Amino acid sequence: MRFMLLFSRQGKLRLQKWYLAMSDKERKKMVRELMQVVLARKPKMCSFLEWRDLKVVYKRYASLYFCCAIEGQDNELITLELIHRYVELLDKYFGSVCELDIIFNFEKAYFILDEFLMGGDVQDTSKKSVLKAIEQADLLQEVWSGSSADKNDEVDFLFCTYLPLALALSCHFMGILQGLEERETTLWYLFCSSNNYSDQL
Amino acid sequence: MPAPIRLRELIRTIRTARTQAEEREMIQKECAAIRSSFREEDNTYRCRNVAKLLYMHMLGYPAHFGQLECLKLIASQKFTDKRIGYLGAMLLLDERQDVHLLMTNCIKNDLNHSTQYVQGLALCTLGCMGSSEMCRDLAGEVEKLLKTSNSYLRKKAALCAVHVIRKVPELMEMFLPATKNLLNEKNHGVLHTSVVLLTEMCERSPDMLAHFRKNEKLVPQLVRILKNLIMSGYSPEHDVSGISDPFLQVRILRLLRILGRNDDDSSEAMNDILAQVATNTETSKNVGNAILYETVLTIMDIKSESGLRVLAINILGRFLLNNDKNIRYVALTSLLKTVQTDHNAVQRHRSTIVDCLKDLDVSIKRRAMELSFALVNGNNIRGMMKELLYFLDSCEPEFKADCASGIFLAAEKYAPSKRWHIDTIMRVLTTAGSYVRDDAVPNLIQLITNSVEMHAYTVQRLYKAILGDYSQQPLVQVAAWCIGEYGDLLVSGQCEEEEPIQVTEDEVLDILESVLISNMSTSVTRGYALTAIMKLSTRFSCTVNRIKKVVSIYGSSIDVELQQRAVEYNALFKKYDHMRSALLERMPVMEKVTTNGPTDIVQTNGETEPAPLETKPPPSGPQPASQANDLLDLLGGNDITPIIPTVPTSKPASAGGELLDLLGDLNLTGAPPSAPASVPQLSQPPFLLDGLSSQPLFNDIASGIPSITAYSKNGLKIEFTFERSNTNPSVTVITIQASNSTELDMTDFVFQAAVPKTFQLQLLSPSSSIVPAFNTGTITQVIKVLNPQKQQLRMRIKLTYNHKGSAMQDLAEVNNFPPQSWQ
Repeated sequence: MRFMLLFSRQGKLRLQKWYLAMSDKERKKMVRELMQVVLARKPKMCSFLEWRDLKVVYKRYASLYFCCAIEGQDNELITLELIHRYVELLDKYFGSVCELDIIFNFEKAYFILDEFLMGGDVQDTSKKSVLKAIEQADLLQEVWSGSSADKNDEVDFLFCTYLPLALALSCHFMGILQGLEERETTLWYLFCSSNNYSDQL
Repeated sequence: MPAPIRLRELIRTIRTARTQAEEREMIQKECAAIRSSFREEDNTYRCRNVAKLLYMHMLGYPAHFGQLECLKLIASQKFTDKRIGYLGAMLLLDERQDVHLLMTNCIKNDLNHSTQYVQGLALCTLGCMGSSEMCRDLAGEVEKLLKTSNSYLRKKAALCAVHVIRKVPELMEMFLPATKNLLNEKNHGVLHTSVVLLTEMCERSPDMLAHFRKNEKLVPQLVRILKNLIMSGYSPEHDVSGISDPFLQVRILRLLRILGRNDDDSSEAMNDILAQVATNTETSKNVGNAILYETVLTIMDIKSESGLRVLAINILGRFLLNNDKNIRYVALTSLLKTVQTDHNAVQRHRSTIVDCLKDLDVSIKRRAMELSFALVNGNNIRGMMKELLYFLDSCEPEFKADCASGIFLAAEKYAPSKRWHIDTIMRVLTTAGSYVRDDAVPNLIQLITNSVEMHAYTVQRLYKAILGDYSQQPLVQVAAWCIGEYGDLLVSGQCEEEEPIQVTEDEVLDILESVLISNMSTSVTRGYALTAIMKLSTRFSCTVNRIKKVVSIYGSSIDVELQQRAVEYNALFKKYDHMRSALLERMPVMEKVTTNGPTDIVQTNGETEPAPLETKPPPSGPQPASQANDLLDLLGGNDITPIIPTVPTSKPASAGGELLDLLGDLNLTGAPPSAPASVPQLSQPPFLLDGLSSQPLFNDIASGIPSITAYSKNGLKIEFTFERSNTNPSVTVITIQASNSTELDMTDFVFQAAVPKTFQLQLLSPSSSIVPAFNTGTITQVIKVLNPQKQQLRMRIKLTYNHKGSAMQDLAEVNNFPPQSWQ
């Protein structure tokens, strides 16, 4: 795959992932052109089109267009499945994902994409595995931030129902727990819901 | 300094902006705040600021001042910082900026981090946007990680290695040892990425390919894995609509394709599994079809047995009947690829393909059209053409040009009869006349000329076609040309094929004049029309005056092209009326010029250019240029090329004398001879001029070529003298001298020459048109012959002149050329 774009029906870009080196100006031009072409397609048309020297596979989910540019020997039908898998991952992560989720949490959409694809190819074909990795990375964000001495950070203590074994074994986490007072340790639970954990951003 | 506004807050605020200007203002304000925050080296909020910057970058605003900040984030110990930092690096940096190299050390450290998620971030970033320098520096680390037992890291390292190989192909060897055990993994992630890595290596290097085929026994391993996937029961982790890990299946099939290509043993080893996949895969959902599609591609590409190939084409045939557009599209694309090799198998699905012409989707229509043209043959031409013509009627404008060209080509190859051919062309011209390509007009004209028995029918149909509507230029051009040529047949009602129509000469002129006047006609079309009108002056009997009037009107036309033609035609009426009928004669049957292949010798049969060339009358200069069609007429046969008519100049009659002087004095030192001065400046084939422009033409005459008497009869003697060009050995320059030994002058002397097909000829202007009596003077004329194949020169000459009050004309063949003139 050369690149993937997500954009709305109004032509607003929501995500762009490029797997080839290109200047910003050229990228903007390509995005503009491709958006025009795809948005002009009627609903009954097929999901594939030829554009420049690439094949473009696109699918519309509610108000968002998911657009992938693939090379000549790539399989278009499996790319459709790939797009669907990404949407499923987003859906599982955000819980019934909608465009607003992707707008307000664009960095998380990127994180999920980067856990699913690398260099344009699928890293892991198991949905469960990808989601678990994201989950644990998110936890790592929280744990780490909890160790910050900066109490002004408005970080609430988070509650969680379980402690992933892998994380518990991570020496950083142990170090953090050791550094805290006992009172804080007992109160310290990590709540595994992405929508609710507080923002460092 | 208050804490910078949160990311979500910023997004919310920006979204409330009602106009672009408002948004820009907000963004500028925030950018300023972020900039000052960066300057203060604020560690706490750097992450937040960069995240906001990334959002604004996605909206299209510049964010380059955040690049260095991303690097600082990457170097931080906080995981959030690293996450945002790496994301920023992937979005804002690429190999064009020098800044990106500063990342290399950070990435190196992170590749060795104790937390796998940090290592993962580093691998991901390197694998997405690492430049060749970075890849070179870090390849060793990646290779180390490829051998780790941690499957999370191993799969990422494999894809990172793919990127490294793409950037720095020489490093491929380095990863070879690590690939040994990759396929023994149970983890599907590692399996999938390993297959991708192996695919990349095999595609890039034939040595690797051979190695994997022979030494590693890759094919049996892959076959085994694929078999397990198909045969094993339900596996919830990798299941997609009842199929187990389709992504992995598709990648394995693709790797098998590369391994089996051009290799009998490998192809043999995978025949069974391919058949199994092809028959066992569920086709109700897109997933199954994706796997079948990949299987078909593989079967067609390797050396599979014929049964398997037939199976593959049948799968594609089934795809064509699928309700899902995407599947139909994919089928048509694949069939297009295979139609050359498995033509008969694809023919069986012809009717389905033709049905796809009626699909609503543009991409499918295009594919179906291309495939239909590929499937046309002598047996199905009538049926297919009906469908294709119907398609031409109703398709989108972007297809019409291609479709029309395709129809012409197919009709040319497989036309069952001349009448059918002409009818088909007529149909195309009337339905898609304005989309026909430019080169179609001369091709059609040639075709019509060659179907001699259909002339009356053709001209009648064309006349009827433009009566109603003369806006489609190619149609009008062809019609005008035909009417000009065969107007007499039209008026005399000689059509056999269908009911002849009653047309008067005036009606014909009416329509041609309307074309001339119409605003819709282009300059080219008008030219055709005017020439056609002119030609009718010899074919029509009652309306010559009308034609004269029309022609004289256009003598003052604003359009230069028309004006020139009209003026020349006028001259034809006034001064050269005696030549008019000869000049405007019926066009002879033309030599067929293939549209595709290159022709060695350009055949300027005058029809590849608009009409005026062949009917260009002699200019007001004293001598005419030879006319191509007259020559063909006289000399007959298709092996004579016509002469390229020269653009005459007003050359003083004394030039011939100078030439003689030059020859007489044997002036060898290369004073530029006067003959080149007589060479016209324009539109001459460059090869003949090459010998002239820089150097004196004449070579050493002392070692010269003997001259010959080419013709001697009735007192008229013509001598040829020869020179060879110094610069271009294929060019022979012949100077003819015509002398008259009788007691009366020969006036209106015209010399014409023709040579066989392998030569090219150019006649320059003669010195005069009167051969004075008693050998008191001569007419001199220069002929240049291009003889690239160094064949023996042969020439036919035709002489016309007036002598003793009567017109004389004679034909002769010159065969006595000395060998030095052409060897």
